[in-house]
Amino acid sequence: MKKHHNLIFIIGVACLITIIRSILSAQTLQIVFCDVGQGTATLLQLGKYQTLIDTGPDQRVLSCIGRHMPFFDHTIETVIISHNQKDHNGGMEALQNKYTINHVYGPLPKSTFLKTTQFTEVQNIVSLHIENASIIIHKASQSSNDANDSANVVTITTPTHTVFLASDINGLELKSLIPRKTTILEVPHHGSKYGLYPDSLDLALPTLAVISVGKKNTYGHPSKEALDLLKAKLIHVWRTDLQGELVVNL
Amino acid sequence: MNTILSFAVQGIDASFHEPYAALMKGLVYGLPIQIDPALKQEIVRSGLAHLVVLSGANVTLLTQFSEKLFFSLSKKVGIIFQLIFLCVFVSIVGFQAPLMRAIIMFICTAVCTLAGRPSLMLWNLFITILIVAFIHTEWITSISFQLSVFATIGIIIWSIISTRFEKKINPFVEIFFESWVVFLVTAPISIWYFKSISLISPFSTMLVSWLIVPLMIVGFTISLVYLLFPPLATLIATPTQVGLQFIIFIIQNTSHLPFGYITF
Repeated sequence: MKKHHNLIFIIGVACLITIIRSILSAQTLQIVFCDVGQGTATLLQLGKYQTLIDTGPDQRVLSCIGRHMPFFDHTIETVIISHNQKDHNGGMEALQNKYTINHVYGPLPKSTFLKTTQFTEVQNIVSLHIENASIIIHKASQSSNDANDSANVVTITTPTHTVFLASDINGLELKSLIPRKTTILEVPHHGSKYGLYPDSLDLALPTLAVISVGKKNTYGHPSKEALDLLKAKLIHVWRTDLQGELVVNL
Repeated sequence: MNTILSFAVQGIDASFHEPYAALMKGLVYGLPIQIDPALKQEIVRSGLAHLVVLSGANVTLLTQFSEKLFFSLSKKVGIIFQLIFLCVFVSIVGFQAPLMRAIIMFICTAVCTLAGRPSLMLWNLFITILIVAFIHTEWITSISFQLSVFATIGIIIWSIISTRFEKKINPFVEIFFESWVVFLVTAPISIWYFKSISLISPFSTMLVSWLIVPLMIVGFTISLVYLLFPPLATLIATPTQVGLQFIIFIIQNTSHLPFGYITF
């Protein structure tokens, strides 16, 4: 009998811990820069509400978001795809198989496996809101046919932070699109030398630069030029290949 | 993955987020963790890779479960039901060298029990190796089989040593020393084949091993319950989440300790 009491006690405590963890995670708006190898996936979460910006190259994104989502939640409210390249949308199928996705914002063509999910093509600017945070999706270029140059960039603004997710745009576009108040910058194109030019950050000075990049990637990302520039501007750098995922409370 | 196995893992996939679902599938069905190469590497570095392969622990769990259910009928009927359970399990997960090693050893022990003869573990292991050499020669040279055999030798050595203690040893201390003996016996194979060794393995094993059998039981239960009534599977999974999170926490923290993992 005593053995059963102990077992019930242990199960009760375990349930309580799981529920408390879920309630605590519901209180703060978090941004998670996932370590998905050579690619980008960024999770914005407030309690049961999740927005995922890009999905990384494969199913590794599941391992990242699964650690942060409440255990009872199996729905992702919004997925934003910056552009249709594997390192940014390759995890979409795995994501669709595991979770219910309510709405996808991205460029055409729409992925073939998004059958029941609502899809909106980003043609210019789309605004979303979660409590006191705003998410602005902005198509970087209307004229360019290049997937990188016309990618969707995302600005997340809260009372204390402005986060700019620059996808794979080039250094010239970064200079014109980056908000002046940016505090956290996701460095364009995984730290490629074409993503950051010497004058790209003249108008804004973020305190943190996140480089989403894979270990020993064949592209040589991040470039020495980009790292030197960030160092010269005294911007703190977080590299997912060396330091893993980064969680910031906004 | 065969059809029965894909049915069996449905409940685990639906009840847990990743990487917890992958870990649970590894514990219960020995499915390789493919979801995240970084996690897979962390498991190897922490010396806990033996937890996510099918082994004697899975066979012991199944046989003990069927023993509780059917041994009240008679010893012979009980053993027959144990064998049926094991056959069903093999049909689900497939033939794997360490699993077959454990099952053949169980059959040797069962034969001894039915014949009323004492069952000597080392002798059983020797016969098992001979049977495997006869029915599936390639397994003898497989790393997983060799690791499984040497780990069993380590467990047997520890059981001989532990019987010499007059006082009952604390379960955590016992697991720690047993892990050390197994580690020392299997170390030459790890070094020879993988050119690496996880020195932290006995410590990390001690920290998580008490959770493995309960998690395996819950994992099996979720697989079955999900097919009948999915919401109940989610309910059962709720407290289990903490156990899986604890194992992932141990994996992540022990895998990055300096000198915990050495490559040659």
